[in-house]
Amino acid sequence: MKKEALILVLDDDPDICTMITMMLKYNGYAAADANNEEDAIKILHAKHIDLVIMDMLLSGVNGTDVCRRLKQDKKTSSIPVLMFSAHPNAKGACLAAGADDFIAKPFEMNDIMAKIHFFVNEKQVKQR
Amino acid sequence: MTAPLTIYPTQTESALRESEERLRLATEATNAGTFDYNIKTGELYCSDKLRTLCGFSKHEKITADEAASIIHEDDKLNVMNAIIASLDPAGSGELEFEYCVARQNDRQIKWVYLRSKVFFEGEGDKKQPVRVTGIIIDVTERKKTEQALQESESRFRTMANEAPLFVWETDEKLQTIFLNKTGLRYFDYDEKPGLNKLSWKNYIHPDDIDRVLDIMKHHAQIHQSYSLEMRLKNGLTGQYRWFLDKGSPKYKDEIFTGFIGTSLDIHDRKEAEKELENKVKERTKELDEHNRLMKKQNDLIKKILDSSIDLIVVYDTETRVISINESSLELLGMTEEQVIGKKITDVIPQMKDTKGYEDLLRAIKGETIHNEVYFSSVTARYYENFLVPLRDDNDNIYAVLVMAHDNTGLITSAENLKLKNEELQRSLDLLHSQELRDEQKNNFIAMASHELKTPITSIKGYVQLLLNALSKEKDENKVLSPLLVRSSLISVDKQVTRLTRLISELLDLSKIETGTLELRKEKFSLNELAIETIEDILYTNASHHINLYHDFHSYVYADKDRIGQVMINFLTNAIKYSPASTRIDVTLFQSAKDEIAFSVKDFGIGIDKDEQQKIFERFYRAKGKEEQTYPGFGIGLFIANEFVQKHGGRMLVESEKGKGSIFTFTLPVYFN
Repeated sequence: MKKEALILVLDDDPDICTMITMMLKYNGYAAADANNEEDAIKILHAKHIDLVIMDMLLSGVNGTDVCRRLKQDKKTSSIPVLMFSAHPNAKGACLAAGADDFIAKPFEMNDIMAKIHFFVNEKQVKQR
Repeated sequence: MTAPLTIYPTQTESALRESEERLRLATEATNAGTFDYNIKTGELYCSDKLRTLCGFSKHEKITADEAASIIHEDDKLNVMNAIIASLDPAGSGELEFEYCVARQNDRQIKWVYLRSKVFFEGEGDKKQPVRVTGIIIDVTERKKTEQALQESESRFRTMANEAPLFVWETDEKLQTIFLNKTGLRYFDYDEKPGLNKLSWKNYIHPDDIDRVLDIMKHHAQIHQSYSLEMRLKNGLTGQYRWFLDKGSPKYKDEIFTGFIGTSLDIHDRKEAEKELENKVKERTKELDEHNRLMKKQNDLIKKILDSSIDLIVVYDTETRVISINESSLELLGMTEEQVIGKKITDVIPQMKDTKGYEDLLRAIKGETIHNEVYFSSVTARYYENFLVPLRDDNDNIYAVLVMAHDNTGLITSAENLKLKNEELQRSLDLLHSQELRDEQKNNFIAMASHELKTPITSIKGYVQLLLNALSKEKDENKVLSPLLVRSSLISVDKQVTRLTRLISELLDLSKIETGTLELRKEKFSLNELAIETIEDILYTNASHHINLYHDFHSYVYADKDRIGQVMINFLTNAIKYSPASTRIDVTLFQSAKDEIAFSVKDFGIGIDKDEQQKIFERFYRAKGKEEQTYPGFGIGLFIANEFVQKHGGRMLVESEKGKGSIFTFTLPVYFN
């Protein structure tokens, strides 16, 4: 299987991180998690990340800014970013910041897994 | 030296010489010059004094003709005649004469007095003059004095005669019996024809005659002097002149005998008086005309002032009303008579303590005052007024003009406008604050939904994960270890607690807004509650290390759940806003007598000074891009503050941006 894909989860709420990590692992993905930008960048530089899933409000940093920086950095600009938020007006801001897709909190597990699956497969197709 | 005298042959020559010498000395001692003329021989002896007097030299011989030649031409004939007469043997031979000489040497005129004696010889027909001897004295000085006196007398006489004073006397029938020269001359009467022909009554002006006669008769009866003025006709010119006539009645044995009196020409004076009188009349007329014009002008000014709707009053420097216009009188409800000349404080006693009165006193001292808006407490109206000191030619203030224009309408409408404006502003402010609140409310709703959805996301995630795992157990790869199931359920439990807390905060907010918040007070130890709360926090939050210091122990009487909520709020805030730090210090201490304080110190992002008080407002969340990224819907501190205040405590915040914050609440100590 092509379940070798490594996905980074970035959320300031550790519970959410844990929950999504569990979901990813349950669905056969490898996962790493970070509660702030600094930790996330470290992981991104250290490992080959296939997809970033991140929250918009990160307690001190806005996820849209993080996304923008990732998309501007050559090392990370090719990594797809899936953003999520419980904030009602978040979708536009996230897509404008360069996020590849957006999903509102709370979400159905099937929905988020479908999006993750899409990004991971597409990337593998591209790579091929 | 002298020729021998031969008239006294019996006398010895020496005795005669002695006698002559004595005479000479005596005469020399006087100012008299002496002479001796021998008619027979024609020899003339002249003493030195005489020679000096007549201007002859001392030694030359003088003939009788030479002596006669110096007599003044005017006197020569008289002198010669007198001398010839004195030579008449029938006469005494003595001669006394005063005449003028023109001195031989310098022709200077001298008055001389001559006294001479002719000596005769023989008797009867044969008697003839033989010798003339005599003295001549210089009387020029005396003559001059006499002449001066004469001139002065003559002047006096002339004056008396020329003086316009008549002196007169009448008999009992008032017929003139005496009139002086002046009077006669005036009437052109000769002295000679007799006064009885002079009927002075004919000379009195026909308009005066009856009056004069009445007065005279009356005063004759009452034995008193009279004084009257009348016109008398000049006999030469026929012109009447004014006279002041004064008369005193005379009596003899109590019977009236007439008047004696004077009449003084006062015509010129009278004319001058008349002229003056005319001039005065003329001037008076001019003045009257001037006054009439002034009055007209004053009336005009008064009409103008009266027609003005403004209040115009003129005061003197003693604050008395000098002039006042109709509008002012109308306002006072008084007549001019009731006001003019009275002090303003007597007319309107309540003026005394007003600014208007103060202004008046200041204007009297010379200040020009203009109040754009002056509110009179007396009339309860607004005025624009001017107070102008009026100065005379010497720059002294003699009055103050006060003009006041009633601006009440304008002011009132301006005030109304201002009020309306303020009202409008208030509505705008309200609208604005409403908008602000709406914005805050929208933000609140957005954040609230975010805050509520976050734990729900967790719960939903775990629940779906668990459900999925249970339903798809056949797939070997998709299994959840019991450990994972447990940790998932623990997470769900924490998130439910979090949700519950959020929901109760919302409920509290609603209770505070509707005023239905009720406290369930009980006695408990604040220190113990702090321990329990921190344990709870640590159960759901492992990221921070919390140090607890009990500097003071105390019981409080309070709603334990609510105070716990405040503590949780402080602690979760401290955790939330210090992501870069892991240390939190909690201290319980005595903040005042009978007061315990609970404070939470973090080392996080801190709060701007100008935002420190706003954070207790409802829906308020710290501004700033970074701050906005923290979870929370801005009611935690608001609710905490409400709770603490309801317990009689205080909320305090100390903070420095970038260094951290200390949040403290206090509660009264409970005594058993």
